[in-house]
Amino acid sequence: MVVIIIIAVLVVLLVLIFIGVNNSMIGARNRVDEAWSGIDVQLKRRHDLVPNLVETVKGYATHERETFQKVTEARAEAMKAQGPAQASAAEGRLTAMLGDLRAIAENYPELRATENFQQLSRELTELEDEIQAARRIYNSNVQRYNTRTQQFPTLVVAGLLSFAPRDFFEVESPAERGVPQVAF
Amino acid sequence: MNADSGQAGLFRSYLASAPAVYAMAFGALAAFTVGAWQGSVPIMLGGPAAIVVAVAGIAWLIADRAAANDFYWGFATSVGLTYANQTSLLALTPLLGAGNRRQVEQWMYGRLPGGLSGGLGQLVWERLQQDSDGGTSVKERNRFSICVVDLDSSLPFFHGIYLHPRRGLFAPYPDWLGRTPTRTLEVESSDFGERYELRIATDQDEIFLRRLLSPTLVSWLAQHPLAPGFELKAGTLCAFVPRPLTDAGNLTYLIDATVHLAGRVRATVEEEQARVA
Repeated sequence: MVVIIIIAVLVVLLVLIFIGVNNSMIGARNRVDEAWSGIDVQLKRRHDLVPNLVETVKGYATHERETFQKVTEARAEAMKAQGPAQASAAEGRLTAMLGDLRAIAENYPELRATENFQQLSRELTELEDEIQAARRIYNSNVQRYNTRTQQFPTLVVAGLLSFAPRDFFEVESPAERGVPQVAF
Repeated sequence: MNADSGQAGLFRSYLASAPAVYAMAFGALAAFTVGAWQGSVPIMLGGPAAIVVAVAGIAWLIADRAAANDFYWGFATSVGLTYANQTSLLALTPLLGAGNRRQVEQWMYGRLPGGLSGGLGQLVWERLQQDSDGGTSVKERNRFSICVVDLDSSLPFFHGIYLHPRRGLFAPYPDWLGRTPTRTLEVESSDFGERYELRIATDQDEIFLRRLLSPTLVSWLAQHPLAPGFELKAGTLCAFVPRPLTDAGNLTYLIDATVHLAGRVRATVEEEQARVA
């Protein structure tokens, strides 16, 4: 009788632990999804800003058609991207293109002096800061979640209930990733 | 530089001062005389020693307080604030009205960076309990470092935001929100959620609050070395750290953190005002 009670208590304990671990895994996964939504919101805001920026620069730099085309294509590609892996690459390209666009604007002092361009540049810089911060939050959540899927005992629950590891939102822009060249 | 920096020097000077020397000499002599009169060798030997220890202890306490006052006065002067040893503040946020009895020590007030009007100090709040004989005694005493600024423009938009450091199971201080009607809000960052608990007034516009809690602010709070909490209510922002800050570096950090938070609140409010206009 005592043995049966001990076994029953152990089984109940195991079930409770399983439920607890499962709930904490669901919580961690939801936080990853929420953080991704946060990035998505900021990325959409940036996508909305790009056409205005292109139009503003176009008004002054009429013969830079190729760059405008590339920026528009990069934006369209970024808007189509699904999930962190695709978005990383597409957003990296868009960031690089926007860098080119800004470089063009540097050659036109009248353009830089316009209030509209200054406002758009400021908004873009702020948005890029927000995207960086949202990315930090997302990656930190992913790291916590992925660690749980790899650690014992949460690894057992993760394996049984298909809690798959998530992708990080990496920087794919060569400009951001590149090591600065220092010449002495 | 901190509140204990001048303590040893002051202690030595107080101990060498005429009142302390006279107190020790006459006290020791009196204790020795009483011991001799009673024919007790322990009192003859221990009495003078106890008097010397008692005088040294009092000198240490006075030196400790004086060193702290000197430090805070010097700090206030260095950052362009006015020093007041003690004050009481209106209970505009739940923390400023916490407990049954409260006062602010080492209060430094004036114009903070960014043109903000406010001050900082050590909030001491106590919970009292009724004794069996009808009197009251202090049940617990909590000491928080606070920095308070006026943000009148936030009044129509923020009805009550209470960001408190997460207390855990063995918190050294109680939850002072008590019966304040609030609801809990989750933020997407795990680091933030591990560090803070966010409660808001029941009539607070959540969408508007989310604009304030942008990823940059959430990330900044989640990584700030002081882990400051804040309360925003009735046009008052009260940033706090649930422990006394006694060095110039951390006090400056608290001011900077408050100014940063106030800047974010202002920007969010201005953005909304511009949008409505």
